Amino acid sequence: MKDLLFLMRGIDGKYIRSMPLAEKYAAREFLIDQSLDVSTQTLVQRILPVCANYSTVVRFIEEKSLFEYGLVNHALSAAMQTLIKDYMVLTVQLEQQLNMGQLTLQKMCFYLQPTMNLLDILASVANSINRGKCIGGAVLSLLHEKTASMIGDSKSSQLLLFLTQSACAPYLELVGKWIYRGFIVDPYAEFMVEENEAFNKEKLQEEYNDAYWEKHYSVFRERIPVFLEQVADKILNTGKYLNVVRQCGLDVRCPFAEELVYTIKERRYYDQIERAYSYASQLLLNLLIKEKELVARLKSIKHYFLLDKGDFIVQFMDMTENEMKLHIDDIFPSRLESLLELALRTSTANVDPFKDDLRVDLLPFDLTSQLLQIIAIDSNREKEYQIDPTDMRLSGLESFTFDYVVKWPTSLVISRKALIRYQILFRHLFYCKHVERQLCSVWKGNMQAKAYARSRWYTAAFALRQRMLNFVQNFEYYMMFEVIEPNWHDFQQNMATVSNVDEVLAFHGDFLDCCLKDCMLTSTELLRIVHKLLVVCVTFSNYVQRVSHATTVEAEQERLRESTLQSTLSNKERKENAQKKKTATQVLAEHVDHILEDENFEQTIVRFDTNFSRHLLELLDKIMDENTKTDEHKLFNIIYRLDFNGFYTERLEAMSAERAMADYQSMQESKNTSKSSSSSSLTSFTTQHSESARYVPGQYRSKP
Amino acid sequence: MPREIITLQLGQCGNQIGMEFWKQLCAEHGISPEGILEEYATEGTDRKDVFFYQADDEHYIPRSVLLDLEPRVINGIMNSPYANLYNPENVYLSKHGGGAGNNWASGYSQAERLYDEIFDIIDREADGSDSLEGFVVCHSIAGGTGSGMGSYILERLNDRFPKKLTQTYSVFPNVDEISDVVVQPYNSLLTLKRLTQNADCVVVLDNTALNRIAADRLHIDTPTFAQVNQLVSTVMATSTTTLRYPGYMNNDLIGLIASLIPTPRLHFLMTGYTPLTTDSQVANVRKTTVLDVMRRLLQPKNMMVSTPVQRQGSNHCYISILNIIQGEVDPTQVHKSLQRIRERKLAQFIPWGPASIQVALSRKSPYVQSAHRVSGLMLANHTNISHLFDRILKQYDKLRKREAFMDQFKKEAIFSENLDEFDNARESLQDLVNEYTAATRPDYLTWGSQQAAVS
Repeated sequence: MKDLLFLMRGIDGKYIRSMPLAEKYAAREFLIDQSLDVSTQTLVQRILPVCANYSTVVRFIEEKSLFEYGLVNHALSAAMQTLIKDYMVLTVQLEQQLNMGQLTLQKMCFYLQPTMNLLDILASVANSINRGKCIGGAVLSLLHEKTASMIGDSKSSQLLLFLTQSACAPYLELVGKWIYRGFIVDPYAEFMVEENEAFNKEKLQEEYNDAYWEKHYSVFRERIPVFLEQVADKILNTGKYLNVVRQCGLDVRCPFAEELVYTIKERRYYDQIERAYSYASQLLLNLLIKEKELVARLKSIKHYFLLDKGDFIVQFMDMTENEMKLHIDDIFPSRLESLLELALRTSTANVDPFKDDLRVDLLPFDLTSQLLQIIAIDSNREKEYQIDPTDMRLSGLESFTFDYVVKWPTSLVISRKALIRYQILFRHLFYCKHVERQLCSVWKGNMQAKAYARSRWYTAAFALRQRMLNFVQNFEYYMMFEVIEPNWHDFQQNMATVSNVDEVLAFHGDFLDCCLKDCMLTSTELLRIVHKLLVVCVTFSNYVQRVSHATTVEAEQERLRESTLQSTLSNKERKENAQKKKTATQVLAEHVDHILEDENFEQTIVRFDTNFSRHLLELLDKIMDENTKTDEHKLFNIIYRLDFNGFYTERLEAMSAERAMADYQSMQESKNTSKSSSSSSLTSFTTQHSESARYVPGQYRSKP
Repeated sequence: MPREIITLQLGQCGNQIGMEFWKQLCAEHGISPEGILEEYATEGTDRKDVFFYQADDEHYIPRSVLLDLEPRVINGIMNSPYANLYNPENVYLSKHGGGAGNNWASGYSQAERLYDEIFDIIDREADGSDSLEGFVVCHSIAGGTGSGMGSYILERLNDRFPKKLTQTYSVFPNVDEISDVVVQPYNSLLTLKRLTQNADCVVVLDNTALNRIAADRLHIDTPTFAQVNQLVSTVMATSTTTLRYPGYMNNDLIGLIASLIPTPRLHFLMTGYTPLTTDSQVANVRKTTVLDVMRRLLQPKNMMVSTPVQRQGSNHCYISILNIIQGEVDPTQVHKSLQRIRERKLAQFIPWGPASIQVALSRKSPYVQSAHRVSGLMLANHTNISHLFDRILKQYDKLRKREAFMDQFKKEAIFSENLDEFDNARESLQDLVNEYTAATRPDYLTWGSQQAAVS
């Protein structure tokens, strides 16, 4: 009996000896001296598990109290320790009884009955933790499950609840710190949210692929206790929001902060977390929108990058006209910078409080190659596209873009990634504007022809210029008024209803994606065609300007000579001069005619014309094609604009008819080759389908 | 460095509409008649510097030159509350003050004599601007000063500022009432030659139509000058809103008119405005949508040019249209309206090129209250305008046959030797009419070379 009591405290006795452990976490086994009588042996057998369990638990406690097992295990061990203390008291009481000679084995059995149960549970907890090598959240999950399964047995469930609550305490304290204050003190890496120092907020400014928001804090699924599984994301976000606010130098103290206590019913802490979450998201949203004026900032970005402030852009282009023509290496960014400054001050952009954050930037690649590269990356065809190194002589215009200085925490929303998308839009629009300006100056030159009655200026050149202008302007109109403006409008409306920053991010991303997509900046084919069209326009205007420049240089010289004379001339002489000039202009007109009659000019214009028409029709056709493929009909609007009076309709019809013909032929062929195969009939069905679904504007009668 | 525009107001009519124009601009920008910015307008995001500059004491001064050969109208302006708005150095009155006697030739030769003084003012004004975009000339083509002096100045502007745009707002005479100026057809013809050859863009303001609109649409039996001029100033102010309230596009004059004028000589634009109200009339509140406005703009009765009502079968068509829509507009509505107009074929376009209705959305002045949610101005290049020229040609031919009133013209230098100038001008105008007619046909693009082959 003494032996038993010794054993219950882990000491070997005279009749009963412990076996050495087979492995670290194995249950201890005992050897009973065979000299004892059978009934005693049975009783001893019944009591022995207590000793075994005791041994397990004590070893568990000793081991888990080591620092590397984390706060949760420490807490659990501490809780077990208190229980073991009770057990010790019990053994001491038993020993006392024994000393007084009042203890029998039966009695002891009886006394030990509840304790056996307790130790059994403790041991099983210890064993499963040992088996799973659990730490942190997993321990809690395990305890939670055990508690839930013991729900019928009130005594043991109470016991387990005690254990779980104590074990949860440090963990929930971490949670509390995170969701109420926004920081982590987690020396043992037990918490489900982990900070990743590699993603630094300063990098939001610089790197395209910076995933600060997503990666800086992340949830480790395996560390989440089961009972927090559902709210894990909320907990993560709450802390993230608060953390952002903290990083802005503000101290956060959640007004609802109350201690989180583990209960078997999940409602209570769910509510608390919910409250903390809504507080945190409100706080950050207010910080961004009210204090950092996010909406105003976005508006200001829109002014510059989406050319909303047209007068500023016009002014800027006026002033930088010469710079933009230079090669990229010859441009002084500082000069551009000061011109930008000037343009900002003197236009209506002056009232924008954020105008000083605008910067200029010259990129070493032009827009098309940049976009094609991005598209290629997206579709894993990177190898297909390689920059042609001979193509690298970029002018200022091609490489120019604005940049915008964004400070933390606005940079969360306006990250480098978003800015680059803005830049892409900007460069596209800017280039269109440039083309429009070029065509306008050609127009200005052409207008000089008005003075010559019955001028033989080549009208085809005018008409082509007009078509180009029509295209560019309508294209711009389309992008600005049918893509950007409505999308912006939606975005603004969404912004009015957002409740947290993740939504802001999502809406902002959607807005930019929509704009890019509908401006045809995401499709390689369309992009190439648009680019070619614009290039044709630019070469055309350069050509015409060169021709007219050659003819006007003489006139200029003439005029210069005259104007220097004029100031000193009397009225009469001036009149004579005017007469002279009249003849001069007449000569000039003839000279122009001479040039224009030149076959060369005519042919060049015709060549430009066919080139332009071909690309434009290709574009229209592609858009229609795209239209039949997808459900999105935004792009289709541009056809309405470009072909408002049905000028291109006929040619398009001819084109589609041709293709239909080709389709039909190939269909016939495929039918001939494999008449019975079901796949061919399927393809023929789809081609027919797409053909009938293709809409040809201006044509309302049904096709035969 | 805005793209400045200098306004030249010539003659009686030009100064009258000019005055109304500046009144309107001042109201829209919140500038008081003395040129001081009103309290409520200091935070504006509008561009005042296109049309105004600021003097040393921050007063806003119009970039405007006022010229006349007789003092009545200018004196009227100088006695109005707006007297201190203008730069007095920019107001030029002929010293002898006798006017041009409704004689084009007199106006022309007087302008020639006053060349130095006039261009001193214009040069100074042009030097005062950083990147002058062009000139806007307000005048009438029927009188003496506006037409004669206007013609001379147009020619010289072309010489001196070949790189600048010249836009005119030209008032055409009312043909419904018997004019006191019997030589109107002569004056008009001679002026039109210059408008064709020396202006980049002519906005035709037809007094006939303006009076008709005032009578029919505004229910005024005998419209006063002021009421008609208010219509004009509305048109002028609205056509410049995109310059003054910058948005995505059309922020310079050239961008605005380049797409309207495909070939250099077809640069006579009609205007239409809706909804029309004057001060005296309480606006009847109706539902104005974008489609509504755009549809109304295409109705002949809202056009400020009197051309015969379009008959079925006539080939006349729009070369281009620009609608400036002001007010709270949902951009998606614009597209729907365009679609509708296209489907219903409400507008007929040229067969020889792509043409469309451009829509420029513009903000409204926050300081001028309007009963209408949406209002719109149409600038259209329509081949039908040749009727107007045809009419002038016919009237001219009638007069010329009788050699009526030629004496007054022969007195002046330009006609002292012969009347070639008349024949020149007639030929030039006839050419213009022919070109407009040719523009209704699909083979217009080769018309120029055909003509050349013929001659």
